[in-house]
Order: sequence, then structure tokens, then C-alpha cells
Amino acid sequence: MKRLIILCTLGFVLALSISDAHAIKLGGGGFVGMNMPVGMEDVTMSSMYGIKARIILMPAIGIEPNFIIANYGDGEAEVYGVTMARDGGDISAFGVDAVIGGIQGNPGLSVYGILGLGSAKWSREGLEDISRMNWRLGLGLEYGFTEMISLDIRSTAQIIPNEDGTYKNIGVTAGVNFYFGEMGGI
Amino acid sequence: MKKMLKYLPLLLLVLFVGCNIITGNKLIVIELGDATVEGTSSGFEKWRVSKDDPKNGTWKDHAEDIKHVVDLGFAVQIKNDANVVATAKFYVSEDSTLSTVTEVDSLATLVLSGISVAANSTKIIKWQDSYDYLHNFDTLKELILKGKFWLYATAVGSPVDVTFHNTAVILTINAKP
Repeated sequence: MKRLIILCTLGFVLALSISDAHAIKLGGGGFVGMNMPVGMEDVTMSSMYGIKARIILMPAIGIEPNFIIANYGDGEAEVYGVTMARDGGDISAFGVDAVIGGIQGNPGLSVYGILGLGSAKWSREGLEDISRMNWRLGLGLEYGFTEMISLDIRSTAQIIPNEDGTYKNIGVTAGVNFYFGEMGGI
Repeated sequence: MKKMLKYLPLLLLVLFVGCNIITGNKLIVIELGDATVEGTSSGFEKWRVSKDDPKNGTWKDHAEDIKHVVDLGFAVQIKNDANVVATAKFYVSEDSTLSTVTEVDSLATLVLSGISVAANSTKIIKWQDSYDYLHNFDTLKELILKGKFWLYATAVGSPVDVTFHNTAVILTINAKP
């Protein structure tokens, strides 16, 4: 099933990319920010950081291979009136996001959507690691200072299915994108 | 294509909200109270751990829609009033009729071990500390899903005079909100 989803996604991206001859624009960057658990009472907010490449296949469609570390803050429980803490652990994830919209890194402000698929591992002291496929959805704002450097602010929801349920977190990050140049049309 | 792209943010929002309402992690603290074990060499006490206990309303409310058990830890203060070292272990079982330490050792499932308490002192095991002693998490998960089990605490010393204070199970389930 996982392979099928990955193949379908890659096929979709490929089909879109070959539908129009266009030079591929290449870039990359890093980002840091906050990681906020959603509906998870056993962990608290902490930090998130990562790196990515940006490959712009068409004027409004690109892909971003990425690697992200998202930390969770300690969970807290009130036991007989005493607050006790529990390691929240951290999630390491890699994957590919499709980015759609204003992703050219042109000077000025642009908005884009994010739809991603990858693999995430939640490591927490005292428990076995949980490794699962994960989904990402989000929105980004990019402000280009020049055609080569831009500020990238984004909010991304990460959903990790596990057994019948899901774990969710929202990352709000700020980073810098660098655009290196273009490759010939495909 | 461009018209469709206009609606992408709305689609993403709907998708996320849709996924978000499915499940969440619920933290449940089950406070069991105190128990004392006295004897010439060993003894045990037990607590009933059940979703039907009025104090465990959150567990009962979500009992039918638990997707899985995310995490389970313990907290306890073990006071040794004897002049010799005591060792303590915790077990779980669906059987409430175990009547000797030997029966508990052989028939129940060990969940916490390696706990040693110096003479006339108290060992405090907090939530995070309990993972240093934890075993058989899969059995614990199964019993939580069944909704009821017995927690046995054994103590061994010569003599033994041990009190388990503020014993608690700290449970995290993934369930519908």
C-alpha cells in the first residue's frame, strides 16, 4: 500500500512535469521553529528544525526533499498533587513535499501550499521507536529579497498514522531559501 | 489548473480538520493508594485497576473507542521500615485469587522489577523513573484494552516491613476525543 501511494504520488508529479517543457529551477535551505502537538496530552510544545532542497518543475509546482527533527517537550501529569514529568521524545522525519503556488523565489511576497509524504520515527525513552509513514499539509509564505535569497515562513501539519489512530503536530518555522540556478527543460 | 489551485488552501484545511477529529492522546492518572506488607520474609498486596472505578471516568468514557495504548508508567514511594534491605516487584494479572508470593511470582506477569530499598529508607519512583524497571509492556497494553486487572506488589526481606505510598498508574491512550 505504501509503495502504491508513493508510486502514485511520484507518477502524478512526473505527469505534471512532462506536460510542459520548462527549465528546472534549483534551490535549498534550512529552517527552525516551534513544534506544537495537536490533541496529545502526554507531550508539550518544543522545537523543530530541518533542511530541504527545492526543485521547481513548473512555474507553480515543485518538490522539496527534506529532513526534519521535531522535538516534543516533556509530558506532565499531576499525581497525588505532585507534578511529574515524562520524556516527550523527538521525531526524525524525511520525505518529499509537493509545493504548489508562488514558489519561484521572486522578489516580493508569494504564497504556496504544501502536500507531503514521508517516513517518521518517534523515539521516546522507555518505549520502542515508532516508525511510520507520515503525511504533511501546510501553507507557506515566501518573501524574496533578491532572485537568489528569500525568507520562508511556513506552517505545516504532520500526521503520523499508528495502528488505528494518529499522532499529529503542527510546525511553525522560519528559514532561508537559496536559489542556485536552472537546469535545461525536460 | 489555476482555478483548482485557488481552492488548495481550503482543501488542506478541511483535510487537516478531518484527520484531527479522529483521535487524540488522552493522559489518565489512576491513583491506587497505599498498602503495607509485613512478614518474616515476604508478602504481597494488591489493587484492583478498573475502568469502572468512579475515579477512572476518563478511561471509562473512552473505553469503547480506544485505538491503542500509547504509553504506561507507574509512580510509587516505597518506605522500608525494617533494618535490612528490601526488594520489591510489581505484577499484573486478571486473576484476583492469587494467595501467596510464590503464586504471584509464577502465575502473574512481572511489570516492575529490580527495585531495592535500603534499610529504614524510602525509594521514590516517579513517572519517568518507572521505565528503568518496566517489563512486559505488551501484556499491560492488552489488560488496559480489556478494562480491568489486578496489580500485585510483592516485597521480600528478613524481616519485611514495607509500605507502598501513593501508588499510581499513568496511562496514555489514543482515542476519539
